[in-house]
Amino acid sequence: MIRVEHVSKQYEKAERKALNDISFELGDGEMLGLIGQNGAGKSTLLKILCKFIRADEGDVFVDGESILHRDNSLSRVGILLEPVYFPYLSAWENLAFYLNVHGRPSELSEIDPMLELVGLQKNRDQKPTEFSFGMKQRLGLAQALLGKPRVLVLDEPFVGLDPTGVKELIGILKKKVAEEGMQAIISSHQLYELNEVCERMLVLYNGELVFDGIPAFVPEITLDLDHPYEGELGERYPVTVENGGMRIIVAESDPDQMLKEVLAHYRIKNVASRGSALERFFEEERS
Amino acid sequence: MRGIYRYELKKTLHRKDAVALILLGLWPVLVTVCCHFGSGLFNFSGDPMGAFEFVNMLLAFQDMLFLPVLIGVYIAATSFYQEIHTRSIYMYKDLPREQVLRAKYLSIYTVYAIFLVTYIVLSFVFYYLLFQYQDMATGTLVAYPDNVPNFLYNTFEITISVLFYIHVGITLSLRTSTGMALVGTSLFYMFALAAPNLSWFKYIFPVGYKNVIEVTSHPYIFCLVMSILVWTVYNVVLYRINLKKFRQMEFH
Repeated sequence: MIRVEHVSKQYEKAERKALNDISFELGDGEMLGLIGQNGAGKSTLLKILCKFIRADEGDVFVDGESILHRDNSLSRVGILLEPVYFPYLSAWENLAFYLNVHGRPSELSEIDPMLELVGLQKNRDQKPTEFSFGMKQRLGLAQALLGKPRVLVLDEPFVGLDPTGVKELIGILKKKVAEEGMQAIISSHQLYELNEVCERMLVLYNGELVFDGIPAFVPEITLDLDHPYEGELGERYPVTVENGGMRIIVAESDPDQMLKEVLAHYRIKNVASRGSALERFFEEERS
Repeated sequence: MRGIYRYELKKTLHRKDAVALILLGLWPVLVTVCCHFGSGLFNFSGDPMGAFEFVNMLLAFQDMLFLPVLIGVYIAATSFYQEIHTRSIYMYKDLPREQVLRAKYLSIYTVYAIFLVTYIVLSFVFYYLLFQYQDMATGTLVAYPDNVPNFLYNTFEITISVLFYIHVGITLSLRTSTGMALVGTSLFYMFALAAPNLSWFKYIFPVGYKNVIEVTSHPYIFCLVMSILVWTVYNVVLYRINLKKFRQMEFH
């Protein structure tokens, strides 16, 4: 379990605190989404958790032990804040260096399967300077996942990944949580993808924790119809009509009955349900 | 610590600049081959040299060239400044900072040591392989036994001076860019060369102790001990300053 207690940080010459008295807990098998506007303090919080910067106040505990004031306390924490590598080492050598300096040479045999998992096996002998950003992101993910970490700290892990890569990453994260009881804190501006893996959200605004919990929102379903909408659903569901009635947007947490009713009168040419509800929630929390 | 040093060294040896520094150790081969084939590229004058004098001359030559120092400082600067600013330093996570710092120091010095040993060994080998047949060579190990302490002192002074210049480069690279570290170290080197001629500076700048030998009757051993003492004080002070800085650093 991770417990963050009263963490605060103010950068030199800054007018306000980057983080102000942040406290939360994360249990086994839990994945926490961290959202907030630019400058909200998300990266600051993650860097404090990874001990790359120091908190002015507060502490962080992993399984009851403080990590901020002990060296070598992050051995089972996998970190991806941005892809990092040594440009003169190959992908395999970078991962080997990482394991070796952290006293885990016995785990070198895990590198090839991990590169296979992230889709970089055929690039193992290439230098990361030859990689695209998405490939570098995959390498960073491989490094974070090496050694069966108990905790993952990921900052914008979906950036640079193609849709297949995003789907694969979501699958990997869900599997790791289900099989190994891993905990994860994931910061992302890609709310739809974040919502796929994290049920619980932490919302930061100007360094303050404004929400911690499971967002209560109703997903919106966009339906493109074969002929203009004639108002059959309006009494039972909140319906927004667009495009001269050729498109309706229905907010409905259990859409089965609603869709049956739509199909009774229309043919559906297209269905979409993408992140708009979490975005609405995020904006509401900010205001 | 040994574990980190081993991997840090292995990582440093992958770098092209480290390989370039080690390859610079082949310089004696170039000199002796050019002399052997009468290319006129290197013209020596003065008294004929034994192997010892030959090695000493080549060491003084590479010291004047300053190239090993520049490459050493470049390696140091990229090991610190670049890794911090490209965030490759994140790879170390929260390993004890002193361990990481020492491993980096030692790996840079080890690369220089590999260069130096290669340089000295190849100087001796190629003296006997090729140079001894030149007019400038006596073919003996030592041509002028009375000068041995002077040559030993020169070798020691050159080596320890270079290590200190690299240390200055490390100090600068923890605080400023690679370019500024190179410029700063070069300026320091020039000051160090001039310092022995600046009245009392020669007593606090170890390169000045050779001048002390020449103007007083102090034996070489005195100057060697004083040089070691002064260099040790400087290196320890710089190391402690750098350790404090590195420990306090935040990696944004």
